[in-house]
Formats: sequence, structure tokens, C-alpha cells
Amino acid sequence: MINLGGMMRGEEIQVAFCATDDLIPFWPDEAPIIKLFSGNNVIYHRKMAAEQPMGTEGIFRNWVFINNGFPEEGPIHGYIQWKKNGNPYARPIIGRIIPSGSAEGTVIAMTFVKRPHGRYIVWQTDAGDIYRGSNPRVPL
Amino acid sequence: MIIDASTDLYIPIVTIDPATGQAVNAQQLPRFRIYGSQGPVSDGNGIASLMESGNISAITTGTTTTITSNSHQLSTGTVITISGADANGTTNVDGNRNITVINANQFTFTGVTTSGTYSGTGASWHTTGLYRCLLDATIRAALQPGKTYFMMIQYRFGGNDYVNEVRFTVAN
Repeated sequence: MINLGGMMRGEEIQVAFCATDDLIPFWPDEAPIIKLFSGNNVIYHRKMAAEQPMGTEGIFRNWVFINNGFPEEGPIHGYIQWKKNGNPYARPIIGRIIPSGSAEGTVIAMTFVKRPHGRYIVWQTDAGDIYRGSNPRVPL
Repeated sequence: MIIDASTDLYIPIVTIDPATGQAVNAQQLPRFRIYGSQGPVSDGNGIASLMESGNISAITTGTTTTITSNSHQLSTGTVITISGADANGTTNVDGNRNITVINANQFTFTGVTTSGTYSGTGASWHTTGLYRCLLDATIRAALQPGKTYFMMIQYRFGGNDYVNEVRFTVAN
């Protein structure tokens, strides 16, 4: 079982594993498939990228961005499947999304703007986006 | 691992042939039981379900076999198990198949020549050896925050019984 632990939207996590046959690492027939579900919904589905640190066989790693396709909070599960000589091998995955994350990025700056004909706030996220909106706590 | 028991969650499992380490289909759906420090948890048992599956609405046989299964959400290279087709008109379609996705509703497989005409119902697919155990409201109500539990998942393969173990702690 691969336990991804807790993560939030907006995070990028690593999923790494070693393809094995009877505990012996090997390069499978083709890139393994990773698939994650939230309930019955598929939320992530990719082939995994090979990695060769010091010539170690069978190591694969993907960076997974927790985007808006993931639930705001709650458990996720899934699997990695790979093949050797056409025979399937698999490993289950489990994890949970912690609330309060944002796939748009973390706010790194915010300012309140007061104009003769309007009041609003402007904020920037670490994704590089700038937003403008009203602060519901401030009467217009 | 730590689980949040405030909502339904699935515990995924792989049924493995211990002799080869390969993912294999259990002869019947695996059963699970949860044990706490005082023994079996009341209502803490159930039957696993297939992790993903779909019905097959059409099959075109030949050296390349085309399967139609609406919104299958599979990807090329996945190994699935097809069943129920050969009992409904085809030959050699059933079995573990390495698929190639054509579009959102169709995929193909090669390596075996199939024949016959599918009746249109009775066949389905699922990913080989992959199941999940649902911890629903009844089971979650029996789990106490902060406590650690063992889940024993029993499956049968090749006439023998095997057990997977999952240990988890319920978040406070």
C-alpha cells in the first residue's frame, strides 16, 4: 500500500515507487499507469516517468499537482499497475485531501484599494495570477 | 496510516498470487473484517467490490478485437479482465487483455483472434486483481477516534485462501 498521506489543493506531491517481481526490481514492459479516484470519480490518470538514480532498476516517479479535479477535502484511493511479459502487477494507493487548500495558489500579497467610485481588494498568488474582488466584510 | 472516519472511504486492495507476485482475480469478491484491541469490531465487516468496472455493449471480433464500453475511463496499456462475452456469443474474448484505447467509449486488444457475434448484454470488464473495501456509515460509526485497527481482507485464489492486512488509526 502506498500511503500518500494528507495533502491540500495547490500542492504538488511526489509519487514514487519501484516496479518489482517477487521483490526484485525490474523495468516493466512499458510505463506503469497511475490512477486515482475520489469515490467513483477518476481524478488523476497518467503514465509514470522512469527515473534512473545510480542505475537502480524499476524506479518511477510522478509529480502530481493537486488541482481542482481533486475534492476540496476527503479521502482518495487508487492504484499503480505495471506489466512484465504481459502479466499485471499492481499496488494500491490511499491518501486524503486536507481542506483549505487552493489550486489557484497561495495568496502572497493583498492590498485594499480605495477609489472615489469603488473599493476593492487586489491580491496575488504564488501561481503568478493577480485577482481583484470585493471584501464582503467591507460595506460598499 | 491515519484515516478520517467522518466520511465514507474506500480501502483499496490488490489480490496477489503469492507464488508469482502477480495481480490476479479472486475467485469471489474478497471479504473483510476489522479488528480492534478488544477483538472483532461489531458491524466491522463486509464484502469488497471491484475497484473499477464497466459493461460491454458491443464487440467486433477478429485479429483486433474492438470493445465498446461507454465512458470506460481506461488508458492504453491497462490490463483488464473481460468476462461474460464468451457465454454470450463470442469465442476467445474472455480473459486478461492488454488494451489500447481508441476513444472515450471504445478500446481494442490484439494477440488473440476472436470470433462470433456478441448478443449485446452479459459481458463486462474490470481491472485485474483490484478491489476496494467501503467503510460506510455503519462501519465508521463503530470506529473510535484515536484507536488503531487491523483490517483483514480474505480472498480465494487457486483453491487456497489468502489474507491481506491493513492497519489504520482513526483521526481524532
